[in-house]
Amino acid sequence: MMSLSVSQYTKALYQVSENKSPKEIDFIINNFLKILQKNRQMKLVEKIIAEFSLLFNKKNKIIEAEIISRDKLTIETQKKIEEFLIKKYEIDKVITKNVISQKIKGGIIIKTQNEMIDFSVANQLLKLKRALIK
Amino acid sequence: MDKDYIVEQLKQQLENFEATTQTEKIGVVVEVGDGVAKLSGLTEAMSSEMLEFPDGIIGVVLNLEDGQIGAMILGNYENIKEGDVVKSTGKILSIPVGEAMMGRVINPLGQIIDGKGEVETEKFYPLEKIAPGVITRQSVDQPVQTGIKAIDAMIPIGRGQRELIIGDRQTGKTAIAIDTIINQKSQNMKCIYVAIGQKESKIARIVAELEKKGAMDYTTIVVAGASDPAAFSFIAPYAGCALGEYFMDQGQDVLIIYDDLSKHAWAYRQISLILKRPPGREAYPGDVFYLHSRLLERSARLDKTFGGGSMTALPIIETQGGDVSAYIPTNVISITDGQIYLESDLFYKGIRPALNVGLSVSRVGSAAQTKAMKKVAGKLRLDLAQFRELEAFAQFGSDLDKSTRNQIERGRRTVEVLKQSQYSPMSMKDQVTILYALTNGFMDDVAVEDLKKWEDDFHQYFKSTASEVLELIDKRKELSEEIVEKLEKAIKEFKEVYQSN
Repeated sequence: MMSLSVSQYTKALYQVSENKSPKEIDFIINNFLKILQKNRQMKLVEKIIAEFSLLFNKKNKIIEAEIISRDKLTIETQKKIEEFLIKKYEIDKVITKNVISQKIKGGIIIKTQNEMIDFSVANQLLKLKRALIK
Repeated sequence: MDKDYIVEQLKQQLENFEATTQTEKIGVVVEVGDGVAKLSGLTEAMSSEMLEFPDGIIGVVLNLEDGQIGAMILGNYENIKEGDVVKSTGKILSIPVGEAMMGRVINPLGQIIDGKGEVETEKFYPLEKIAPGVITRQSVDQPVQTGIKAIDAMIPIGRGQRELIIGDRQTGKTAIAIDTIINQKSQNMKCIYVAIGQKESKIARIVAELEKKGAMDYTTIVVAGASDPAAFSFIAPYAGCALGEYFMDQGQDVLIIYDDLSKHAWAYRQISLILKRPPGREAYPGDVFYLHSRLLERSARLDKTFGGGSMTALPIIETQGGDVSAYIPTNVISITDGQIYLESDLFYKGIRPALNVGLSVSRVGSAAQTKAMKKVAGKLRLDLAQFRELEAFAQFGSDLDKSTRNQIERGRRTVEVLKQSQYSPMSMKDQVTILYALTNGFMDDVAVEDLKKWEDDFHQYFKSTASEVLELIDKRKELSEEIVEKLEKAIKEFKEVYQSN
């Protein structure tokens, strides 16, 4: 038998657990793990968890975003950014995480699953450098 | 030096500078090694799209897999680490092209590496492009003069043809290619020499030689050195081809040399194996035939309505121990329109260029030969074929009848005349005169050992005393009765003068 891929497992898990009560989900997960064990695919568990959270977010219009800044953001700014992202991506909810990095020198970088908006001073300086060298 | 001027300039530059920010597609490096990176993220990435790694290093998407992307890195990959952010550029891999590239040494990304300053080009051409179709093509009918007697006479190459140069190491493959480039001076031809996995010292020597002969004015050299990553060797021929296509689209004639495609296949094998593509025969991936066929098919002679340009390709293949039936040599032999086969045995015998006339062919044939050359070359092939048949008997010495002996003697002289030293290409008119003298028996009374000197004096005499005949041949490109008469007269006169001295 051809072995199933991570995305196939994840899709299956999502479909069977959709709109189910917590009790039912407990049962489903138990069975799901048994199948994995039987197929000798337990090593995929971690990847499936990561993929599942992505799929869940996509289906429920949730985005996880990482905001990188030099200093810790105030709650007010973070709220504003969240509103901006909700509008930009047409989603219902955004979960943000503030990461502090001295490397970016100033400004912010917003990173989502596979997109990045770079408002950092470091990036602007890099662009200036390239423009001048030309 | 004016301080205010510099400050003013800087200010102006800064004023025009605008830092725009937009949403960029990104991915993350999951795995990196041996010039190949596995990336996650980067949804909507295209095949052979350019990627930007940190520090501005360029990568190219090769594999699109389930949730993962395999990309080769064009540049120094030592500083790339797991978790690095990779940006997509939305552009297919392409190189800058233009007239300004002539006379320069570039790398496969189109960056100048000869240290003579940047060039300005307007256009970009994609590295991968589908070859011209049937309707846009025309049959090959104009010759490429290589300046090598044996090739121009017996294995004629036409503009738009693909002629393989094949042979073991140290048999003079590159020498033929370089001689051909040198001979293109004032022949209205743009030359591109693509060095794939070559030693940098060899490339430097070639550049110096071309400069000395004034051939760099119409030549571009694309270099993927032996120390560059395999990805460079892999894309180098396509980069050279893209540059050639630009000139071809301008209606110009282009000569492109791929030196050599066996190293190209090795580089591709390396990348494919690291990307975990399944290996096939000799561990090459399944599409190694297509690798070369799609490259060589881009050489063409375009129809008048499409500009009438042409691109002639001289791919080079290095065989191991004379084995032409290995995988890559057979592939490329079947793709090209003929091959020039060089043998190390002949090379050591002192027959240089070490051409095996029996195994070398040109499938386009005499369509791409001037009438004058056609006339003298027909006899030449016959003479040589008969000589080869009788050569074995010659060992036994004198027990042969006169006509056989004559044939052997003629054959020896033919072999001798076809010898030609490196970097001394010969023009068509000179070739026709000497070959006419040879095939019509004017040399039969000259000793084989003295033939070299005799030939030199012969050309010298024609240049100084009988230049009228040479001009006639050059202009009419045929041997009409009138010209033959004049030619014979000149040859006879030369012999008289020569003998009396």
